[in-house]
Amino acid sequence: MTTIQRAYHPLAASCAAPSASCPVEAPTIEKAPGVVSPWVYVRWVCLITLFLMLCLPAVAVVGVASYFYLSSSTTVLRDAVMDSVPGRWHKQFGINVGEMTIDLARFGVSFTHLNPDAKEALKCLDHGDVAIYEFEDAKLSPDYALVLKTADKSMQRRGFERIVGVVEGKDFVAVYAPRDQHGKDITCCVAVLSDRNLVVVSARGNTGPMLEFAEKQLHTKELTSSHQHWWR
Amino acid sequence: MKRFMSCILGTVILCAVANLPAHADQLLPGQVDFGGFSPPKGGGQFVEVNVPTALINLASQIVAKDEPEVAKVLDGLKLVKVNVIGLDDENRPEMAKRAQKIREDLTGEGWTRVVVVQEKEQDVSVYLKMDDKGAVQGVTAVVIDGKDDAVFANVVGNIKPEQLAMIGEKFNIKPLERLKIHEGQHEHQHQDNADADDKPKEKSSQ
Repeated sequence: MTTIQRAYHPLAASCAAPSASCPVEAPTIEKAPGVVSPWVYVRWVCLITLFLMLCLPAVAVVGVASYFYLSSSTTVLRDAVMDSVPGRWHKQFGINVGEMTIDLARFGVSFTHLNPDAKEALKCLDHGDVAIYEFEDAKLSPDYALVLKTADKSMQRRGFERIVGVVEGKDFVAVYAPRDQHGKDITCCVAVLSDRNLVVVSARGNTGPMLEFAEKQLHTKELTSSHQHWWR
Repeated sequence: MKRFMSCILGTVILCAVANLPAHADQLLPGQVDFGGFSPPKGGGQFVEVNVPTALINLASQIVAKDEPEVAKVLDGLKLVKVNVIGLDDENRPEMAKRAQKIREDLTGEGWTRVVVVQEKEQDVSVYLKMDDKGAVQGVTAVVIDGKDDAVFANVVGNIKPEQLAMIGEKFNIKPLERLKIHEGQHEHQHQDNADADDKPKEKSSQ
């Protein structure tokens, strides 16, 4: 006779042996060598179901909350700009759209009669987040040299370098891209300070659809301009 | 095992430390470090554009079908850097000094001055860096445009000075678009330059 598999039987734990509370001895099951009891599967299925039931709401909460939390690069850039402009800032708007949402949007948009250019543009984007802040204090007179220096320092620590920096009058624009940008994806972070508003944007796109889109746009432009020439 | 782990850790830290300054200081052949610029305090114009290789490649792929010749030029580029600083009474003398220093440094580092234009308040110098085989490694332009702005541009890669304007046009960099150097002018200046032993010459052109 092979070993008795008490552990796999539901009664095995409580009625290992006949006693006053449980007079019946647990039935013994003989296990053929190499065969796993079906109770193992049942237990695992129950555990996984329970885990999913507990996790799904948590995942949903995290997923919904993630729409309102900016990506780390955007946060670093925003903090750098805000730190170098003393005063209070009020958040007006902020959203973070991840890959899953964009995929869903692409899927949804494919059934609509949206402008084909908009559909193509959506294909280029993999991830994006944007936030708008308003300066609450009476006067905004930032030292743009300090803003650039602080933002450069913070972004360099994250492996980003400034590719564009423009200051003209009260307008300020800084664009950062990863120092080692390789492969199909292209990423950039932008900060725009204009009047009393600060806009920070971060986006990651795929160069493949981007190239297709750009080519199409170029052709359209050429066709339009040649058409105009013909009319003139 | 402990000794092995500390060896690995030590090697990793050493590599990281050794790599950091090297990465920060390493300049490509034909690249010029103009140093940092600050926006003018009077609220004047300040533009800094730094187009890395990845973006140049992207631009090249975009125009490859329609403008293969432009794409060919872009393929030879590694970096485009342009600084435009608006001039005011406060920073004008400093910028003029800086432009002069950059010119001297370039001459000292083996750059050849191929274009010199000094008329009225405009002062344009274009320098070319070539390797031993005669291939162009980079072009640098230093411009003090009257009382308005100073432009420092450096294009790294195989490019001719007369193609600078085209690069400006393709990347929408207005100050580079303004640098329209004609092929004849470039060669003429190049000859003048060789004869004059790199002495600045007054030349009215454009």
